[in-house]
Parts: sequence; structure tokens; C-alpha cells
Amino acid sequence: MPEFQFTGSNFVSGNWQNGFGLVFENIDGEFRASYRFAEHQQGPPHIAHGGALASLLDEAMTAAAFRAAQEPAFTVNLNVNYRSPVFLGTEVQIRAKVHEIVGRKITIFAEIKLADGTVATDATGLFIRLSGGK
Amino acid sequence: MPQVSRFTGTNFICKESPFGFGIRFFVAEDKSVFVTLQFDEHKEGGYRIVHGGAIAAVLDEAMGTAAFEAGSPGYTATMSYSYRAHIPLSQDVTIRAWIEKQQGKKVFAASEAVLADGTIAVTGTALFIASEELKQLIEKYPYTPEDKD
Repeated sequence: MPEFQFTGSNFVSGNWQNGFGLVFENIDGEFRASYRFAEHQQGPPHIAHGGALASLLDEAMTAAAFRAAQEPAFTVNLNVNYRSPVFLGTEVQIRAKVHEIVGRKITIFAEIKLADGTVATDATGLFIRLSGGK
Repeated sequence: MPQVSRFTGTNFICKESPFGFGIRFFVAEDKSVFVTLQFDEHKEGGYRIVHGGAIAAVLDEAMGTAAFEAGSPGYTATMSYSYRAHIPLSQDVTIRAWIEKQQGKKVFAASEAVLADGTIAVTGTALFIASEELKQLIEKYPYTPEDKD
């Protein structure tokens, strides 16, 4: 059976003119992407908006959830911790990995790291898969 | 009559679509903030529904604006959202945010996104760390979506 593909949302994986234009790489089920935030994603002066960071983390977690469940899954709960600001124009690494699957519930961890390895933002998400699962 | 908040908002939220959401928040008498908007296809997540991250972003900004109206704008330290119902694209959604309590520099805010039929689709809470520097900056230069820096 072909693997269930995550094609990405309009909002985050759409092209750069309307979305973030994010492209994920799947390395053994861990979804990774690198990104530089631009002016139109600014929150406080020179800093990426917390909601923009949350959006990327949510999308990365969704990609990981889709792959693990082999079907669509929806965000039920999203918790985000902001540890250090992400300045516009600096490269960051996003990664998301499934922590566990219990019935329909999928728990996922994700983080955004700065170039020097500092974890700027981390998140946990609870997703519910579309069907009942196994 | 509710007034428009003096905080004109960040680029990410208040610029016009497709980049932003093209919104400004209103301030109620009790200092809570609100706005009714429709999400367009640029904010799509699942098929014909709004991206969870887009809702999180708008609620984050709403809570940040409520913190500003309470006299303590700050940086988001943590936030948490519960998604109870899908929000369809191109339908009215009312966003509300208010301050629950303040302890020194910690500002605790709550928010919700409500569908036209009264269904609470998403609830959110956030902790902001108040910043005097940010407050002065906003007072001096209320951000405008046109600002370049």
C-alpha cells in the first residue's frame, strides 16, 4: 500500500506569496524543516510572531501525525512554550516527532531551534485521528 | 460604544490578507477585546477549515492586545489551546480575549473563538511577561501594519 502522504496546508505549506512556503523533510518519522521569518510575520519589533511560530509547530506536528496514523488527524490541544525570541531573518530548525499513540490519541513533541542550538520554542500537541484507528 | 484599540497590531495579524488577517480589535467597557472576522482560503488547514495555527495566532494577538489595554503589554511566555469544533472558512467567527489576573510581571489571559451559532470552537489561555520597554515602544510608535521595523 502506498504511504499516506501529507500534502500540507494552504496556510503554512502554501507558496511564499500567501503561506510560509514550508517544506518538510521526513527523516525516520521525524519531520524537519528550516525557515527564516520575514517582516510580514513580525510580532514584537524584529521578532517573529508567537502565532507564526505556533503555526509552524502545528503544521510540523500534523505532518508527523499523518504519517504515524496513515490518515488525517486534527489538533485537539496545543501547548507552546516560548523560551527565547526568534529574530526575523535568522535561520531556525523546526522538528516534530510522535511521542505516543493510544487509540485515537496521538501525542507529539515539536521544537524550534536557533542556529546555535538554543531551543527557542517547544510544543506538545494532542491530535485525534479521523477514524477509530486499530 | 466600543472603541478600536490604540494598539494597531502586529504585521502578522493586522496586515491585509494574504499576509495578515486584516483585523483590528475593539475594546469593550470591561477592557476585554473582541472582533468578528472571516478566515479566507489563505488560512486553510484541513479541507475548508481554518488552520489551528492561524486561530492560535489570532487568539495570541487578541490576548496580547487585552494585556496592552490592561496597561501591561508583554511577550508571550506560554500559551495553550483546546480545539473543540472546526471553524469553517468564510463564516463569521467572534474572537474574544480578556485578562484573568496579574501577579507582578505575569499577566494571565484567556480567549475564545465563537461560531455564529454560539458554539465555542476554540479556547485559549496564555501567560505574558509584561515589558516596560515594549509598553514604551508601543506608546511611542503604535505599530502600524505599514511599519517596516
